Amino acid sequence: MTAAAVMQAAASGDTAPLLSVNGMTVEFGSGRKTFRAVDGVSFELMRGETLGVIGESGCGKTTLGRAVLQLLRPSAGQVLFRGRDLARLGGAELRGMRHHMQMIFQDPRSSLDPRWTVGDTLREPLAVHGIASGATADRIVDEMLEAVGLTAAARKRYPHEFSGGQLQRVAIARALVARPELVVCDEPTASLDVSVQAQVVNLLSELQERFGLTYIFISHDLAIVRHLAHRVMVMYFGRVAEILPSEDLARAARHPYTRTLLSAVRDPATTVKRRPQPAEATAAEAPQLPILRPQGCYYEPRCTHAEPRCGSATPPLETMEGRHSVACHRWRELAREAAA
Amino acid sequence: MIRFVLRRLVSAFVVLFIVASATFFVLNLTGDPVTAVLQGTGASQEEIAALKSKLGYDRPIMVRYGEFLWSVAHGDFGVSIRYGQPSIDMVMERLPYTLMLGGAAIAIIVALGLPLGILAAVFKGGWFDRFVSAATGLAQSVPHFVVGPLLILFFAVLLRWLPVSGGATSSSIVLPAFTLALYPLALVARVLRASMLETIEQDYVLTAQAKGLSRPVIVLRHMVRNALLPVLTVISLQIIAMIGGTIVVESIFGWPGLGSFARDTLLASDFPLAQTIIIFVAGAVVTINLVTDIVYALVDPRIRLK
Amino acid sequence: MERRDDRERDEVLAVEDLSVGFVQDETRTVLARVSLSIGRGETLGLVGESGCGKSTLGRAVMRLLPANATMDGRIRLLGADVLSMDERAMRRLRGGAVAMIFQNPMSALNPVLTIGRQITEALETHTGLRGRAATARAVELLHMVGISRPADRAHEYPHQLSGGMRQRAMIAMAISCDPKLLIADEPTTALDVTVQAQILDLLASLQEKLSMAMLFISHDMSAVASVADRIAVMYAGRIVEEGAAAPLLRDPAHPYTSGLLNSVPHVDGARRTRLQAIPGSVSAGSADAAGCSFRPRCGFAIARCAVETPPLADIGAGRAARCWLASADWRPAAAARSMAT
Repeated sequence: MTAAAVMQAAASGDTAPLLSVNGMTVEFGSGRKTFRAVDGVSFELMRGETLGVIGESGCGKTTLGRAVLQLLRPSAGQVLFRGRDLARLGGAELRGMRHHMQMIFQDPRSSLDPRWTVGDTLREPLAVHGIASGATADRIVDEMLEAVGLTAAARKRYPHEFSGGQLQRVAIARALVARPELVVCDEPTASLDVSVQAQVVNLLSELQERFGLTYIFISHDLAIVRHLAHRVMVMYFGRVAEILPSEDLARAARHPYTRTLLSAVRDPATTVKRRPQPAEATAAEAPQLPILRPQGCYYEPRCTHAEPRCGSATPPLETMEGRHSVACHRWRELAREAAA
Repeated sequence: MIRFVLRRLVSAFVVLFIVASATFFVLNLTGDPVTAVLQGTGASQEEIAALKSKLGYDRPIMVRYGEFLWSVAHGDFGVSIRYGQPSIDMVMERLPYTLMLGGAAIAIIVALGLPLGILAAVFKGGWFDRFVSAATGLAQSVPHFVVGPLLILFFAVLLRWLPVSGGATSSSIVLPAFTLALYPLALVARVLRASMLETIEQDYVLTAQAKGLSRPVIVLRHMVRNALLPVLTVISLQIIAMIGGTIVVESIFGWPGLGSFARDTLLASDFPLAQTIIIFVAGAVVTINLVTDIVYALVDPRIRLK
Repeated sequence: MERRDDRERDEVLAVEDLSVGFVQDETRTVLARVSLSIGRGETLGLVGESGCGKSTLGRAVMRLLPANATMDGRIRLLGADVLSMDERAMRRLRGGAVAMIFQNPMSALNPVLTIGRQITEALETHTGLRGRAATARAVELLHMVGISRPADRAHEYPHQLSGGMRQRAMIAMAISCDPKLLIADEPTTALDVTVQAQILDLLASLQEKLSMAMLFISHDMSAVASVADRIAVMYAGRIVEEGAAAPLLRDPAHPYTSGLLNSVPHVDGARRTRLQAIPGSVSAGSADAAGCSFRPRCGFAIARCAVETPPLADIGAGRAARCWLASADWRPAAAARSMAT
């Protein structure tokens, strides 16, 4: 499905979303030590769409991805996928849904078993889900290897015989061989060399078109997320700060945190040597691990636009226009200031 | 830290209670001690029955259990069937010898095992490393009942430097302590060597080098403390294992401690005495674990005792 | 003759024809005849992908390579010959006139020593400061790198600090003895983007305050762009392009530099288009093999590239590139455009 078709489908409103997450919360620990890694996150994902999830380490983006796939069970909320609430499904039913949803991890070296050949690794999902075996499975495996830019000869080789980029191709083939609909990509390019990153980004786009995949693309790299995603969701300490179409990101982002992230992106072609600043000016205290605050905006301590109510009332995620929502008390004023 | 110790003390009492109860039931359900002790001594059925009722073994088990708990809580561990003395007195008489033996063995393990492990790692691949590797390999493959007699033969019989057995002179502790320490010492040296070699690869060692620190400072200040962490677990487990080792070693050397005594007691089905010894051993294990946790927290600041 | 002396006095670091190999069964060359120099207060950005030898170069300067490394060539550090120096003199330099910071501040700091102790031990080694005076100086240094409540922080352990704070503590440790050269090996790679910017700002300000030269090693072109005066690009153990930062980034002369810059998406560029990836991956061969090591991945390769290693040739305006095609007016970007049409 092309980007235009996605937008059309989204605009016409007659297509039900492939994935619909409502108020999903994931907590670790118990009692007073409960740590809320994901805090009431809601979003919808259309078939063929890519949602980019961005945020700094510890913001809950990886937990979010795993909770959507039920690799971690959410403590509250709904995860509607193919018309069923995954959060309510038990072991056997959930296993039956597994081949429709897959994950690609950051480090292919640790996500592939070093003692298995690539063929073994790729045949396993086919066998587990009863899709194919024997010669049919081999044929499917070879086709998938070819689709990710490897040759059938790769089938007999072991992970250590591949470079990082090739290995990530193997991991992608492993995720796609059972033909899932939804794929969660968790920082799939972060462990790769710069020159190889682009190959994998291109491959993921190609495969999306070819197999009609729906992606949740998790990354800390704003430029890559913007490049690949239809919509970008910005997370801060487990909450959604802003969610907007990625073509609007640079121009229309309103949340002060999104703007901070944008300003931290440096383009090598236009960056010039920074002028030394007094050390005190750079000394902003790094964000602390979130102590569960009952109310208020989590970004308030770092926010240059904060006012008293930001510390006392949690801003709701409000729809600005169309598919753009923001969780900031002051978004209207900030939008006016930006327009002026 | 204080709260941690208090909480652990509470749980230690729970553990001891469970151990005492389990010991009581296991021993009492396997038969009655009077029959076991007097059988084959020519005592008649009437005499056995009389002694049974005199010692209270003819009453229901739950009644005896309640009585047992009550008296243990008051420091009364019962009277030995075989010796007719309070079992607690008999244990307390021998305990210092075993503690001395164990303490000496731990001192040998720490004083020799740690330097051997550190130096073997520092001179990895050199003659010293190869020597340590061969010696520890040998030490780990020879059991107590072989090492003990060999040491006696060499140092006591041939060289006549040390006494053959007993606990009469202060030098008589040397051979049993060495026999007891040999295996753990070798293990500790090996684990520490491996742990040191892993530590050498750590980034902070490179940082220390980049700071211009000298090699001894890097090894002692930056590496040993980090490398010691996995070794602490090994030392702790080995000390616990040594409790069993004392049974064999004390028997070989005629050391008047609790180990050799425990062997005789258990073989003789002297229930009150056996119960007392087992409760003391459990107490020792609980104490060793508590001390290990505290030492861990002292060495590694990342561990917070709560 | 006089001018040469002047230049030498101004040079903090001069590496000449440095080759480094690692012996394991057979020798594998990881650096092949690398030359570079850094002037007083200058920042040289050393860019390249993992395995290109950039970290090896940084460590070679400190003579901190593993025991199986062989070094050949010359390294002149503040006028002293590093490769012939005895170990004691080398230790005086390390942490003194030359300091180093690393990629991951969590693993580069000792977990069982306090931050303060890790700074004071450097002071004790290189300055006369001891005891209270050293502690006071450590607190002052922590304040200098922007750590709030420095007196309390000095008593804390690395795990009690956030990632950015740890890297600041690393920097405080590195600058404790007034280094003339700071070797920063991927100092921002492990940090979040917003923290990265703070650390880069901090380095820039300290550099000016202490008039310290810096060898800034990174795979991240944009991080390098924000601190470097000059940039050297490494590929497979060789420098392939060198020059002043801005022109090199704006108008790269070597196909590899150009490929690296083109392969990252721009935050204001086109979306969901194909990125111009460099095909293939770095080959694992020895750095001193004949021919251009980038040839298998290069879209402009000619027959000569396979047999002869191109020299790092002057292409005017103080720039140099290791490519047979490179000249004052040949640029890969323009060549690619004309090839396409």
